[in-house]
Amino acid sequence: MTHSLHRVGTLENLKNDHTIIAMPAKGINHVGSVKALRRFIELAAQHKPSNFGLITCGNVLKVPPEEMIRQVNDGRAITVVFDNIDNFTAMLKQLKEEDLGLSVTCGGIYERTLEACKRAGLEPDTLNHSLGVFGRTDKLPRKEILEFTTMCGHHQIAAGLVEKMLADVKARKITPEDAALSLGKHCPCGFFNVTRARDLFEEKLAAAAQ
Amino acid sequence: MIINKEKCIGCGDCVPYCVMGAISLSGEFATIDLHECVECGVCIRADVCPVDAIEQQPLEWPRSLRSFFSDPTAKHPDTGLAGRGTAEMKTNDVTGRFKSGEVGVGIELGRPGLGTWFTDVEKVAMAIAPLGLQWEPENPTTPLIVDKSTGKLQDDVLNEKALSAILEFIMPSEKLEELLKALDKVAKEIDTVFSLEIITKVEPDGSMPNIEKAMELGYEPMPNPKVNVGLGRPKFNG
Repeated sequence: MTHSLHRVGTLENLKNDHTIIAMPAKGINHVGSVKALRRFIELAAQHKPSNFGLITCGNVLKVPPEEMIRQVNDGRAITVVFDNIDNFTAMLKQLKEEDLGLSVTCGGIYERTLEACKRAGLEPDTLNHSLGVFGRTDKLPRKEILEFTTMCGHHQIAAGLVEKMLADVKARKITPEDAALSLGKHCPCGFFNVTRARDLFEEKLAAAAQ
Repeated sequence: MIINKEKCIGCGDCVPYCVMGAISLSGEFATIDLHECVECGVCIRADVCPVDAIEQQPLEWPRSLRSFFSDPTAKHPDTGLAGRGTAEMKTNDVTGRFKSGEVGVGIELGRPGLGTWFTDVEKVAMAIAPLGLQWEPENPTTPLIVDKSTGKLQDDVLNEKALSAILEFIMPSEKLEELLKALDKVAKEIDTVFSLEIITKVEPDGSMPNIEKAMELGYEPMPNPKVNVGLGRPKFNG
């Protein structure tokens, strides 16, 4: 799965976009991993993320953490996104302290991930870089739409829906916050950063007002 | 996915939700272009139809392939996993799957948001297979490649479309330049896009040879990579 990679944006608007995915390794430590996964969900809920979820269950905008804890089972992955480096760092620190045994992979601007890792006493083991998009890039939606749609790594948020929300925000039919929440509901794993989406809508609204 | 015309009231509320743009209003009803629909289930899960006119028709092979690759809540019959890919580097601290001197590669065709026909998946697979790749057996695209040395896909899937499909493999780092040249060439021959990722085991001195090589070749990695921070246990130390 490459779903937290390839998030489109500028250095500025990606600054507060920190993802974490936690999972056991199939065939090595997945049997009995449900206890650690349940604890991870509890920790995610405590550290005030922008969104999080369990793909088979849904994200926290639709499903309470208690239900995720009830439904999670061995071998699953939990996905979380934070909208500030302090909460992200605090989560990493606690994960290090609790030593749950789950593999933890973080996404975000590399220098900021490194900074958080350093503060939490962690070091990179393996990296996955996006080299970009190739082929018929002329057929892609424009970048301001991709900034929203690529936050859902399974691409369950349609460019057409973002266009509609953007038009509704600019027409003041819906607030940036409600538009962000509305889009976020359709990202089943919970990687869609609602705060960043709200900020992007506000930015577009301000630009349109000028 | 289909629209039940007995129920549809032609409100058009469902139209913007389709990630493939396959829903349109035609006369008094919404219709779904089944040629373009990838059976992702977004429209039905969105629960936006006021009269529940969106319905899932029975999916038989090979059309069912669309759902396995496009609906993250659908389990793939070969891997038993939901989603298009694998754990790739996300458990590398435990599995040791990617080692020094190797590069892990993921080529996600159709992403972001265009979708891909499996004819294009085959084109890319055939362009790179001669390099001698270690295809990832857990990836749901891999079993569709009937000849791993040529990249040929099974014929019955070629006319199917998915939201995306990932070609995933490991190869020696020294072949990275050849791979990127082959991809550069085939990118001009497909009718979709692909997002390209490369995986690097961080060396003891902190260096990342694969990404350094890619940059030397003129590639500009996106600024937000994924980082496995080594918390998995038992730690791989092979």
